[in-house]
Amino acid sequence: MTQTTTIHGEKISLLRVLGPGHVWALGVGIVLVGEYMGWNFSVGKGGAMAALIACWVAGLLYTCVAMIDSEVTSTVAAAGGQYAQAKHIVGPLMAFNVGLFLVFAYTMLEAANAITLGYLIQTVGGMMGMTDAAGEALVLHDKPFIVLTIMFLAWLNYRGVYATLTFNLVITAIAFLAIIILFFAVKPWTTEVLQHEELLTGLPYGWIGVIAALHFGLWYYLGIEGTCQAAEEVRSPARSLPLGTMTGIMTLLIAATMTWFICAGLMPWEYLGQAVTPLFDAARLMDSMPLMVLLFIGTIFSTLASANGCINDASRAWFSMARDRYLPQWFGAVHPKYRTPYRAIVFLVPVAVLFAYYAPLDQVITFSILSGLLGYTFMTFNVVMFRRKWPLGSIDRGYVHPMHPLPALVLLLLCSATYFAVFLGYGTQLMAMMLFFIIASLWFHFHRYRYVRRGDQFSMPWPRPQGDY
Amino acid sequence: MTAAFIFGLIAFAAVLANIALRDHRRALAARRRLFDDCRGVLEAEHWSAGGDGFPALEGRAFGQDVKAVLIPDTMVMRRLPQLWLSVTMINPQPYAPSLSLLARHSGNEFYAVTLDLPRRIEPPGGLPLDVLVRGSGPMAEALCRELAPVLAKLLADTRVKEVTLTPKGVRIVRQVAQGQRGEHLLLRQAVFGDVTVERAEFMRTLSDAAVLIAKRDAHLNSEAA
Repeated sequence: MTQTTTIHGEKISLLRVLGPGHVWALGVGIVLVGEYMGWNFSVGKGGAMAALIACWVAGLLYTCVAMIDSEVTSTVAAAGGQYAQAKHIVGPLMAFNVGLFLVFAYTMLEAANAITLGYLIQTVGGMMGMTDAAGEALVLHDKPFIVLTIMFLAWLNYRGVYATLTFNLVITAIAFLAIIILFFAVKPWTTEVLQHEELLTGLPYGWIGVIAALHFGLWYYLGIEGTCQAAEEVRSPARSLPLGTMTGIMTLLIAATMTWFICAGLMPWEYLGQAVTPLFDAARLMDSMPLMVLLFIGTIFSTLASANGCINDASRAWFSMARDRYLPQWFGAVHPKYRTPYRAIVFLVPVAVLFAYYAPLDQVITFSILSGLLGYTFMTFNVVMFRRKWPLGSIDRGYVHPMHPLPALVLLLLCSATYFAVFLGYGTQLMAMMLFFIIASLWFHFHRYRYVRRGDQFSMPWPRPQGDY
Repeated sequence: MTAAFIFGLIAFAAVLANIALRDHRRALAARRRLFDDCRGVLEAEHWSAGGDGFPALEGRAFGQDVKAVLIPDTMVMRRLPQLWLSVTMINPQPYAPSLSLLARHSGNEFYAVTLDLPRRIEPPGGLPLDVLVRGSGPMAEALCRELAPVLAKLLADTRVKEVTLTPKGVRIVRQVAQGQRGEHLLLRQAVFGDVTVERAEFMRTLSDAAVLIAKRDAHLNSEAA
C-alpha cells in the first residue's frame, strides 16, 4: 500500500521517497554507528541526564538543518549538497572550505570507525582467554585491525561498481535490530536488570555540564542530512527531501533514546563516559552469549557500513574540488577500468590511517564533529543570503521552510553553544582546526584561486541575483 | 563458550559470504544482459565486456561505424548513481568544428567532452536554460546556431545528457537507468536492477546521431560553397 502525505499541497508517495523495503532504514545505516560508539562521551562531560538532554537538543539542531537544507537543495537540482550550494550562493572560497569540512568530517568518522572496530576485536580476543605455548595470555593488538579495516574498505571503494554488496540490507538490518533486541532483553518494564534509580545521579557538573555534553550530542546524527537526501538526475528532488530527512532524524532520536536508556541503567556514568563500545559493554553485562554475539556483529557492521560510506563521500568531495580546480586537477582523475576517483581514494587513506593510528577516539570524533559543525554554521548565513539574492517567487522552490529566519537563528545559537562546549573540553583541538582552515583559506586565496574558472562554477538556470552582489 | 562463539561467528560469516558471492554473480550477469534487447540492430556487430562487467557494442548503422558503451557514474555526492549509454557514430570531417552541449552540468562529468572544449558559447534560443554549450571557436558558434532546432528537440528529452560533434564524429550520451535508492543510501552501492537498453531507444539514438551528421555536413557544405 502506498502511504501518502502532503507538503505545500503536493501529494508525496512515501514509498517513492524511501524505497520499498527500506522504510525503516532511510540511509540511517551510515549514521547508526553514532548509537554504537561516541555518543557516550557526552555522559562523561555532564552525566547521563545531561547526555539525554544533549541528544534531544541536538535533535532540534538537526531539525533546523533539515528544514534549511531541504529548501536550498530543492532548487539546486544539479545535486552535490552543501558544496554545490556554497558554489552557487556564496562563492569559490566558501565552496573550498565547505568541501574541506565534508572531507574532514567523513575522513575522521572513518578513522573513528576503524578505531572502534580494532578495539572491539582486541576486547573479544581478550575475552577468549587465548594463551601461547608457555601458558602466557595472548594479547591481540588493535592497530593491525585498524589499518586493515581502512585498507580493505579503500580497496572496495577503489574497485567501485565492479564490487557489489547487494546484501547490504542484511548488514544494516542486523545493526538496527541488535539495539531493539537488547532493549527488550533488559526488560525495560521492570527494575530487574536496569538500575536507573541508583545510577542516575542528576547533573554532576550542573547545567554547564549539559552545555559541555552538547559537543558529543551531535554524534548521534552527524551527517544524517547527507545520507537521507540523494537527488535524482532528471527529476527535482524537491518534494522528498524534508520528509526523508525528518523521518531519518526521528528514527535516530528513538534509537538514541533507547540506547541511552539501556546504557544509563546498566553502567555508572563515570565508566559509561569513557567506554569505546558502550552497547557491546551493555551486552557483556547481561552475561548472555547470544546478546554479546549480536551486539558484536551489530558494532562490526555499523562501523563497516559507516566507514564504507565515509570513504565514498570523502573521495567524491575531494574529486569534486579537484574537478573545479580548487585542488590540483591530478586528483580529479577517474579510474579507466573501475570508474572511481581512485587518486582521491588513495590520497585519503594515509590521512585516515594516521589519525586512527595515533589519535585517541574522543579526539578523532571531536575533529569530525567540528568539521560537521562548521558546515552547519555555514548553512545559517547561506540560507539568509539565498533568500536575499533569490527571494520567494524569483525561482522555483520545491520546498519552502517555514518561519524564516527563525530556524537559521536557532541553528546559529545551537552551533555557538556547541563551539563553546567543544572549547570547554577540547580547546586545543578547536584552535588547531580553526588554524588549519585559516591557513588552507589563505593558500586558496593567494595561490589556488588563479586556477579556478569562475565562469564555469555557476551551473544553475537562475536569474541574476538581487541586490548589490 | 569460546568455541561456541567462534563457531557461531564462522558459520555466520560463511552464510554472508555465500549470499554476497551469489548476489555478486547475479549482478554481473545482469550487467552482461544490458544490450540483449539491441541484438541485430547494428550490422557486423561485435560484443565486448568492459573491466567493470558492463558490455560494449561495435558495428555499423546508417553507413557509419558505431560504438556503444555503458558508463556507470557514481561521481556526484548526494545524487543517485547513473548509468549512461554513450553512442558514438564515427564520421571523420577534418575541417569540422568541435561543439558540445551538456545538460545539468555539475563539473563532475568525467565522461563528458564539453568541459574540455576551450570556448563557452551562449545557448541559442529554444535550448533548455541548464545546458552548458562549449566549442572550439567561431565556427562552432555558427554550427550551434544552425543546428539549434535539432539540438533543442534532442535536449528536450531530459534523459539526454550530452550531445557532441567533433571532427571525428558525433556522440550522444543518454540515461539508461539510475541506481536504486535503498542500495545507495545504505552502503553507497550502484545497483541498477533489472534494466536493459531498450531496442527502440537505441535505434532512436542512432537515428538522432545520423540526423546530426547529415545536418552538420549540409552546414559545412553550404559554408564551403
